[in-house]
Amino acid sequence: MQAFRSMNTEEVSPLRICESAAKNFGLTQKEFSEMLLLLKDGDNRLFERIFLQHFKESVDYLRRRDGASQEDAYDAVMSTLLKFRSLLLRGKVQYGNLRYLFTRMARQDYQRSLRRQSRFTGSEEGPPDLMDETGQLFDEETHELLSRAFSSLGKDCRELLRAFYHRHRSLRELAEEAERSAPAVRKQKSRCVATLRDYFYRIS
Amino acid sequence: MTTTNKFKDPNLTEEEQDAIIGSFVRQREDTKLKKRWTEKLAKEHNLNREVTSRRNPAKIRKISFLLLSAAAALLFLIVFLPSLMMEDGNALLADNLSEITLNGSRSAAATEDPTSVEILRIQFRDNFQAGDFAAAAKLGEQLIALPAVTDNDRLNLGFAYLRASQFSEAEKTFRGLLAVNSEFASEARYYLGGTLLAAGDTEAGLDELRKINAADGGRLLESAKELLDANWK
Repeated sequence: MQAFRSMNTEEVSPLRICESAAKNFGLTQKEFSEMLLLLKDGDNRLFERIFLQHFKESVDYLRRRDGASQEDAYDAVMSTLLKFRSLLLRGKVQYGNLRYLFTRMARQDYQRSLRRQSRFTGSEEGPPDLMDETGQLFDEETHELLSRAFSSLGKDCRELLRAFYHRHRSLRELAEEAERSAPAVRKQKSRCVATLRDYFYRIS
Repeated sequence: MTTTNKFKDPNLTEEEQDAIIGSFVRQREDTKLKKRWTEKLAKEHNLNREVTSRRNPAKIRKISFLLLSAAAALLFLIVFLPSLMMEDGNALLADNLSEITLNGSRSAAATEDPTSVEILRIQFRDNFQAGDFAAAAKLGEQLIALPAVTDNDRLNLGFAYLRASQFSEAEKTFRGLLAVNSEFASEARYYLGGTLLAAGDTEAGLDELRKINAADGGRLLESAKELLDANWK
């Protein structure tokens, strides 16, 4: 996939660019677009370089602003980073003030974890965080069985399911990239899912 | 909320199936990413989930050492020793109560035909448990002046002295038990050590604790070892 697209050619002053970049973790709009394309391609390196560089400042902010412990702040920022990546891939985050959005999400995540802990006062660690953004809850046994089944799939199937579910790529995009028809890719995905279920039943 | 138990349902709709598998794949891949980022943060950004000392580690270690020493001493004085005393005091007092029970019901024995010794023991226990150790010590002194007194009573009096910070009296009481080779000599030795430590005579206190051996019982030996291992500087 093309990993670079020409930026908006509208004239902007260097000062505006600096201000804008500061609000966006140092990213210009062009770099932001480039990062998105790489992410969709399964290449996390630019995303990691930008966001891991600012990880500590977010942790320090939560500690300073909300009195969070190092561990709680670290967990909240880590959780936010995963969600932020997912939002970027789903096109839910636009270039503008990424820093503000990220920080707000991290604070919300921290406050949610506090509420969760207060409901599980008998446990120091709190409840296991096995719920994803769609609200699916996995018990350990099912998760383990699904993991084993997933590992038994062929490389192409694993990559297709990862691209579709984790990188939020549409079947049409994946078909274009593979120079195949969308129905063919849909059929391939159905076969992969059927195989996964079959493996799952066999080892259950 | 959907649970993955549904995944075993053969009549699962494609939409439900998609939701479950999607959820699983995201969790699986997120876990891998989280692990990778945790490693990168630690390796490339020197950032760990747990607080680690990065600035002047030698100085921080020194401060931590001093703090730990102070905490150990404080733990002994405020929590550990009183806690042990309370436990043993309670246990010994409970022994006394058990003896009263053998003569009938506890309250009946105490109120219908009480002896001076029994009444004093009950009053001693009540004051000790209420935290009025000075009053308990006064009652204990009266108790040990009576002919029916036991080494148990003397040991309890030592506890009361110790809790009331009457260290010289406590020391004398515990040494008295040691001198007659009391059946409570082991306890007396341990609490004599504790008394001396609490009174600030650290070397003498530790010397007494060093005399405790396996014959004194595993619990006392273990407790003594913990105190000996603590930093008293």
